[in-house]
Amino acid sequence: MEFHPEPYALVPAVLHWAKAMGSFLLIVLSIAMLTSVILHGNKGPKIVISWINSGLRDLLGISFRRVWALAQLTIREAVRRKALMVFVVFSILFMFASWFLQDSTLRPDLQLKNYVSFVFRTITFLVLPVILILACWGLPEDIRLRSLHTVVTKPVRRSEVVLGRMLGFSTVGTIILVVMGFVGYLWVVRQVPTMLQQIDEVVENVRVQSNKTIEGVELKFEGDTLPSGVEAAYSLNNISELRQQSPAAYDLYEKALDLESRRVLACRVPVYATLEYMDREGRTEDEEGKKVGGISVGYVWEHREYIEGATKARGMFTFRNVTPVDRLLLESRFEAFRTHKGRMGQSVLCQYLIVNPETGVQVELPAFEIAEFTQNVVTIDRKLSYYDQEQSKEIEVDLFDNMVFDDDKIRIDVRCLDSGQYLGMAQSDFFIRQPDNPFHISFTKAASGIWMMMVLIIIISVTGSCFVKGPVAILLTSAMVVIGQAFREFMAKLVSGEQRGGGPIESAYRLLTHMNDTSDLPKTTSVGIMKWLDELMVKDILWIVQNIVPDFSHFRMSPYVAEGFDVPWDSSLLPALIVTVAYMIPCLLIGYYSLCLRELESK
Amino acid sequence: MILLAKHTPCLRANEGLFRYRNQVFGAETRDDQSSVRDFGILAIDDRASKDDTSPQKPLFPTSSGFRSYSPVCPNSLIRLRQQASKFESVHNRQRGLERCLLDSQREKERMDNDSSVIQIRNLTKIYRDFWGRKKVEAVKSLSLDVNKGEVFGLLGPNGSGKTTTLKLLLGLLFPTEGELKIFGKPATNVEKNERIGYLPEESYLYRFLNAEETLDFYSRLFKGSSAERQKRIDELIDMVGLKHARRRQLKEYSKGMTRRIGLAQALINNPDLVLLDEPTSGLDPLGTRDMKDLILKLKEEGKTVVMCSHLLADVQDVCDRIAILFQGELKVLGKVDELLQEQEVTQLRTSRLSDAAIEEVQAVLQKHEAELVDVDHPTTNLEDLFLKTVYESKARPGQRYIPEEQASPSAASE
Repeated sequence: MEFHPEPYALVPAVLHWAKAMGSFLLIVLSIAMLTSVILHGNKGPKIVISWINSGLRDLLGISFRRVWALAQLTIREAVRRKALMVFVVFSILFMFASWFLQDSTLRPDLQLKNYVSFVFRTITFLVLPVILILACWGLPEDIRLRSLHTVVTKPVRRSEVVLGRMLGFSTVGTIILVVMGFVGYLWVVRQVPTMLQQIDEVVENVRVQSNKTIEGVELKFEGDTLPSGVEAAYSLNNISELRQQSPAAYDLYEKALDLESRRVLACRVPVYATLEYMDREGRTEDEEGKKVGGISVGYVWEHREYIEGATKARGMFTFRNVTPVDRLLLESRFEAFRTHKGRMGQSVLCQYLIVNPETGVQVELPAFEIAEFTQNVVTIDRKLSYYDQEQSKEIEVDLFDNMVFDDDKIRIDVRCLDSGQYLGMAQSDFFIRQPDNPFHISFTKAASGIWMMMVLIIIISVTGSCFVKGPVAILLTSAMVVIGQAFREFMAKLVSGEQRGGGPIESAYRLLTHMNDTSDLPKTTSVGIMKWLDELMVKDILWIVQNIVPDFSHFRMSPYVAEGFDVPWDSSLLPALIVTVAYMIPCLLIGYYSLCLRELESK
Repeated sequence: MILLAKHTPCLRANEGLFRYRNQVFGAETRDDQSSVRDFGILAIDDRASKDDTSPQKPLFPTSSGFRSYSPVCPNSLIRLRQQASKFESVHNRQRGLERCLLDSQREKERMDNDSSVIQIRNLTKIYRDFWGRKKVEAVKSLSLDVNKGEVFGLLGPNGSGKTTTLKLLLGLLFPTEGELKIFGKPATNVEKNERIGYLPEESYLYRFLNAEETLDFYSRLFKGSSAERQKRIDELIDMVGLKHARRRQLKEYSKGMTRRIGLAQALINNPDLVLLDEPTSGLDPLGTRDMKDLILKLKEEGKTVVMCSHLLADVQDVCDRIAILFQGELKVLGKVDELLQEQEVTQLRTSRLSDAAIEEVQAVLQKHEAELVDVDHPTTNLEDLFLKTVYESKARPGQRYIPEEQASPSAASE
């Protein structure tokens, strides 16, 4: 999975929201004014202004007592209409899931990744459709059965009806989510080969036997991290053979597996760096003054860039806000691209270098073979030494006193030592690992991602149901979810002009004339007009559409948990929260005015 | 004297009367009303004297003639008439009229606030299709007032616009033209609902709730402490006779029970104005009688009740005033007693009269050239007979039906 370690830029996001919201409001206001003038003549603008005034007064006079009464009604309605039957489906799925998910040939971390993904997918696919249907049907059914008549003829504001519905469905969804999340968490934990309370004993046993070498498999314990021999143990062709030959080795192997499981269940807290590259000649900028990048090895979907081995090429990772600790734990996950077979049975050699660009001091750490498709964990002590060529002697340095520059930065370079081999890396591939959080923290955070997504879907559904009937509201909300999940990037490309083939008119023209998207269009007046219209539609109208559809990708937090990471606040939870709140305000306004301007009794 | 303003399609009682797009038009004197088709008009009846305290009726002409009217305080009209006659130039007339009308308006508002709970002026409701084409004109230029403390009945056959008028009053529909005020506030104002109770035609309640939960939900929409709410809920459940079914879901209720709980929810806030749409529909005779008793009790408590129904007997029993609508138009408006009185017929009631006495009465009538229409014993109506039977049966359990032949004295002697 590709993570986006950049913190969320809150201020630009708020400004962007204000711009989108302002544009939307301006369009709505213009349409309202025009319609009102057509219908009411000179009095039109006055009527619109009076609606705005009464809307503001209504919003300011919202009573939480009434909102909560309506929310309670919604909860009762959902419960008595058997919405909680979803638990039955959930239970059946979880009763038999392990039959299909258990795969003894998989590594425990991958197996647990499957379990975690299964839990979050199940919760998502059960909770969201149920809540979407409930929220889309609630108000239209109330209007159809005229139950809402008895409510709005009480001193209930339309905004309270909208808010009450939103709050009620959110509460129902939250209850379902909490129960499912808790059951899911227990289920995941119970799938770990040994129970969590036994793991401490296992750790201690492995620690005692850490220096044993059995049947060529060295299980060496390194601090609190995984034994380095686990990987080698997996490479054994026949585990049962090992069991027959050396029960003690097999026992140790099993304990190592437990430890591996524990590592997966923990949630790692990474500190990411910014990544820059140095090319094979040691330059950081090209002739034009642009920063050099890594090499593309031709994988279309690859997000990594590669550095060439046995050259001056490096990946330069600069960590900020580093606070002194006794020992720094570095974790990486690089990929190798080989241009030749390399050494038999060995992986590509890699080396870290700690560099202080201010003093020019460079500490080379021991080279190591990268573990492909899994993590490399390296621990650096605070006290380091390097060999000074000029003084011809070993010099000791302190990691934080001597190697930190610009007050709080540490630069660690990565280089590949094998000639003809390439090392692929991305910003999220290398990080300082801070003390782990408990697994349940990251699990809860990921569940809160589903919760926020659910709340947003409820907001959109209830808003839609204020002006269209249930089935149409379901279609509308589903369309927004699908576009927001899958096509937002495509829309962004269309708006920015990156998408080949032009706008809708140009695309239609190319389709009709059988012209592919790489051919240039003839420079005629009609083509000019066509392009101008396309630009108008794409730049303005599509820009608004793009901003109306929420970016649901912000809510995908389960991959963090599945990969054994903590869910970061600034780059994942905060944007999701901001998106949810940002949609709540305009949706409440739309819902309120839709109900106000609508004749509830209209035939 | 007749004061004229240029015709506006939607004349309003107060500010719209002499204004058309903020322009005040001059006053003219006309001798007859036949030439005022194209003018909005405040017609002052010159026959009214200063001592006459009955409300004057300014007329609001439409293309089909004078159809609706509204009472205006006579004092302000007299003052208006006096002041208007002093204005010489058109300009002065305009300014003067404006000032006079403002005074008149203020006075009328004060009067309305005192007595009128509902004011409807020139109310028109047209249902349109998706393309804006007129489908049906449900209410046509309706103007009427409902006064504080009275039981007002809206009558009419199906499709006459009764329920539409009620829903316009509640803000569930928006008027195409005209003005609606309840407690002096527009029908779309939410705050007015604090003082209103509404019983819909069908009890559109939440069927998954039980009686207690239903009343608890509706009571939470009003201010009040939890203890007060609970007390009121207990009172109402007791009053509508649903104590035995207070924890049953409404979907298990019969129609009559649903009407009862509907009534309870309408009264949850102890409203000053109760709007009842077909209140006796679906109720058995006992329930109907209870409902009527309750309406009268509400009246005794000083509350205003507006009910719409096509069951004339029910309306006759409880209403002080009625309005009869037909195809959206107001046909009759007035006090029930006055409207039902047949001035052309005189009814004499005596105790049992001998044949000789009847002949003598006939002779007297002939002497005075009056025709005797009918001589008969007074009859009760079916509802009374039914209720009497039920009440007697309750009082004397075990009483059996006696066939007519056995009950007659001749059959007994044989």
